[in-house]
Amino acid sequence: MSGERLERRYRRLLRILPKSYREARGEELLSTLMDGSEEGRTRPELREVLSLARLGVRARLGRAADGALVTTRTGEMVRTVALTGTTLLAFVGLTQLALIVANARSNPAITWTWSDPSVFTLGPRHRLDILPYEIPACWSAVLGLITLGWWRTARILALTMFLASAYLTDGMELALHEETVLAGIVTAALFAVRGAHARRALVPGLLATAVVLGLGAVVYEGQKTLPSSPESRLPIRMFEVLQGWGQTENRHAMVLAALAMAAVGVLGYRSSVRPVALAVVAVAAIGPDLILASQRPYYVGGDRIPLAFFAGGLVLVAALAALKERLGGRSARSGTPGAVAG
Amino acid sequence: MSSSSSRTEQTFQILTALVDGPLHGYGIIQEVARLSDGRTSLRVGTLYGALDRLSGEGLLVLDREETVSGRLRRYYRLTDVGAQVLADDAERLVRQASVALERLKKRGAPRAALGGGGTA
Repeated sequence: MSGERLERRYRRLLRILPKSYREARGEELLSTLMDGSEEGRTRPELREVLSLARLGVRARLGRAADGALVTTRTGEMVRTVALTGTTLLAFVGLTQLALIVANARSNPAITWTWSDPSVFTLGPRHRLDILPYEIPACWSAVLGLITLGWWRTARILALTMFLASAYLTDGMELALHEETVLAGIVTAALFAVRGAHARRALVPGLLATAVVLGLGAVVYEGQKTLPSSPESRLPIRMFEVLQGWGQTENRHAMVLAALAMAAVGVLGYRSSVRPVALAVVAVAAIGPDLILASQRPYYVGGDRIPLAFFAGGLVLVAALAALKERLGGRSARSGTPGAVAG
Repeated sequence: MSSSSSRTEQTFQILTALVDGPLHGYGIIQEVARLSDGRTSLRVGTLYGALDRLSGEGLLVLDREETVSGRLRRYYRLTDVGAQVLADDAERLVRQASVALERLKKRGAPRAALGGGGTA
């Protein structure tokens, strides 16, 4: 009788874990909890409650989740691309929106923002022209859905945004295609992810990076003087803000490269999978811009060298990680997860 | 800092517990308690966090599943990579301990302290 009551309470307590984690491990956890419970106990032990709460938080943040479901390095790579890309797009979208609003306030000459009432009076065609600049902000909703474990809804929203962006930017200026290309890659990765409570260890690190960069964008005075053209979009704007930080002589390139390294360092990789995935996202995000640099000399700053350093830094870290793994080092620890039944 | 070092110790103890053969969750908890003379009492949340991490790193794998009295039990087995990592860690600890003892001898530490059995 007391056993039944305890089991019922443990089942209720296990709701603290993400649903997908519960589906994979709930019965096993319950079995272990019941095996370890004292005779006659009717309530869960406080220390057990705290440890499960901690597991729940870690699983939701991806710190300790899903080991039993990770089957291949490809799987982890796909997950990393999906999470890193979503975080980057969310950051880009939100900062872009914030800067649009900030610039519209400080510069009345800007007429293409949603915050300018005139666009509402010019008709639906103008709204459609503006939407591609606003849509990326919705990637923060995708990130939020992933954090909550609602992967299916996240996938549907991502696909909707990608299709809308692709349709709206078709035939428009090339600059808009970068985000669409990245959105396409990230959407595909989101659909390929298996294991809903998959590793989300990247999210906290990248969010911290995004907060630091976002604060920099607010604090940096120079961003207010940037021209009010579509090229003021992020991630270009983000890099220009960073460039502004290191404007003493030519150190900005090194600052960006160092930031790239630091971003990877924050993530704390155990195998080459994550740095390589991050490099894929970085190249997808700024690659088209690098290719088109010669055709677009009208950007602030004129040259794309800092961006090249940024992407180059990430690629270098990825190459070093792969080399380190090949030569030994962490390989024993990272190993090849192999087929682990879930 | 302390939590980090205790996590490492728990990981070490979990891997050690699996050396003799596959164990299920509660079996690991019992074995770790036995190996540490009752000093380490693993909580279920802590155990499964560690199992997730160690499986993800390929140090242990799922060996088999059993249903006992209507309850699901999963048995975990140490992999070759896991055994190698454990051996490396054990050797490192032995080396560190011998360096510490060596220095304590030179310092002229009391015999009782060198004899071990302290709180570590």
